[in-house]
Amino acid sequence: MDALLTVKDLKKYFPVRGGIWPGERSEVRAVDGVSFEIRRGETVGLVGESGCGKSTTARLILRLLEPTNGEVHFGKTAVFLASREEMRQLRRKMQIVFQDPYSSLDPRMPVDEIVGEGLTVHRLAKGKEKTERVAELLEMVGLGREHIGRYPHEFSGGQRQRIGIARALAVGPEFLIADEPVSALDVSIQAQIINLFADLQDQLGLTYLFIAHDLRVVKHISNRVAVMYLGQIVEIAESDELYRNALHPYTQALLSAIPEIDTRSKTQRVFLEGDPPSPIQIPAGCRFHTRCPKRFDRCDREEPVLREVSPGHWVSCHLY
Amino acid sequence: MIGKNGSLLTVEGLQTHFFTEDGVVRAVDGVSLSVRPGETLGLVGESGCGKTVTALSILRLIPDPPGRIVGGAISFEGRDLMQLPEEEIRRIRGSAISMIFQEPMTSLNPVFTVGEQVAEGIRQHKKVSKREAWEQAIEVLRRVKIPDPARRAREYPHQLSGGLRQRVMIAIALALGPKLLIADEPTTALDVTIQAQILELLLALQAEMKMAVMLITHDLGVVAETANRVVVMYAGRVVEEAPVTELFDGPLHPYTQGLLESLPRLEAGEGQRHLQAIPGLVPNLLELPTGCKFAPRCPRAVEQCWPTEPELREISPGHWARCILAE
Repeated sequence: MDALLTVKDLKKYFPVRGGIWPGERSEVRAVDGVSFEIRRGETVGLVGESGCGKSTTARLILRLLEPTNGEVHFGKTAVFLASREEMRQLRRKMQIVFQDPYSSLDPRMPVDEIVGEGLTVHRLAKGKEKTERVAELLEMVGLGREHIGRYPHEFSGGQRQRIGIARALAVGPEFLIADEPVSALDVSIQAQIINLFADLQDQLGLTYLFIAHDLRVVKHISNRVAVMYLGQIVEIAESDELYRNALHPYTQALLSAIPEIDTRSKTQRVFLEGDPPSPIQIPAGCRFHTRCPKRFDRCDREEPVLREVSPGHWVSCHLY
Repeated sequence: MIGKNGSLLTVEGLQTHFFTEDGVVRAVDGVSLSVRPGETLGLVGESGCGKTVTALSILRLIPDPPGRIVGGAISFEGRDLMQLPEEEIRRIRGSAISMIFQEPMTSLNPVFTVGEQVAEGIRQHKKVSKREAWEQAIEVLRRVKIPDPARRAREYPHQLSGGLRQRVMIAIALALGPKLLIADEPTTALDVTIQAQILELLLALQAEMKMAVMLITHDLGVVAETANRVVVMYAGRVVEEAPVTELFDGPLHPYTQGLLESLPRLEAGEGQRHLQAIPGLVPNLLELPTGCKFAPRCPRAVEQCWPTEPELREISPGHWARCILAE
């Protein structure tokens, strides 16, 4: 298959000061050996709870952060080795939409400047042509040219997210990272934005990395889903396969924790004890063993590796 | 003591308005609902629909100015809460009715240990020594399943995880054995595995203490799993009320139907790329239409929806809807 994006053994450790002795240092292992690939035109969902490293992974892929270790290839370009000029080209091809439509738009800029900024930076259009292009982009995301000249505070949350999407699309990207793009929105508006992502993908042939903590949303939009826990991918599979046949006990717990709409079909819930451990003190062996309902003697000694247990279904667990 | 028709809490025609520079925001405009002893009432709706303002009105916690309760009646155990002097209502708050909020970090005081904060609440309402209050606090922390409560009681909020902090909030709310707990989005800020733990705990404690719960949430899944009855709000009004199974099996109001259809389903296979979204925007309370408030977004709206607002009608026993088309 034609991989558009390849991530290999990606790591990011943040130093933290701490401990009793002066000069004692430790580190937060936010991303700790993540590998996966995304095919052209595909949507890969990345799920996990807060602090599992999903957003750090996204920022590393875009090289908004420098990695501690690992490689990211976009097409044939090695992202971390790219020169300034190559990076400029890459930034046109890879874009991001953020979670919070309230804080990610400059309140002092009118919408056309927000959306058109990338066009100017990359010298793609100016003057009348730029205005025309901005109007097109706004229409593409379900807003209109009458919104040109208005400021972010004049828009609702859903409309602001549309502006954020238009801004990302302005430079004509091939690949879009959506980092929790609907979690700040009301339920009735969420569906509108999810539909917009689907339509844009069909129209423009985009490839998505879709990050969210809401498994329902991720399942709906993704072809494949990767589950992260404490800086690592613990399971990755086709989205239907993952939901029908989740193998990792963490994935099973995540799925069973979703409140069910159907009030009759109550599935047996797998309760996890306690909270996720701190990424400063990652447990030895399998990093999930402290909360795992199925742990056995091997789990606190030996770290499992991600293995392919059936075609396309990878899991990192000693049970398989 | 129980009020009329066996209710613990009855809210009738509640109107809470905010007087702002831009005009009068009718955040809650004629809300009626009741909570029976021991039951869980789910209050659902999107941001700005008035669910939190309803809860704050019940406890008379609306900041005045700019807000004011301008109409309606609230009775709890047969007593009219709107007429009670401030001192009396303060006695009820935290003891007979208590409330937990969405964000445990901002509702706890960072400079006191969590044990002190639980004990403080106990001493506000009961004549006990500091030492007794402390011991009771530890016992309450144990009841909310905080591991090693005697040690945890000496810790400060920042030393606890989000899930433990929410347990502390629950401990404070339940320390005096309230008859009604108002929980405003108690799990929204939490991860899904922690949310499951907290909901499980709330349900267990509710059964143990025979307490009624008014659960405010935007999450229909949470409601489906915990509530006995559900009230759906839109633009400061109740648009539908029904027993939980009936609401999810046969929603009558187009807004409720739209909310349910707009949710992605886990069991759905591939192929359906589009969700049934509700068109339009969440309404601006300063520019509401005269007739049905949902009409501008309603796929089934007809001419009669626009001139006058429909009444909330009982369509089948216990199932109410504010829609002229409901039958």
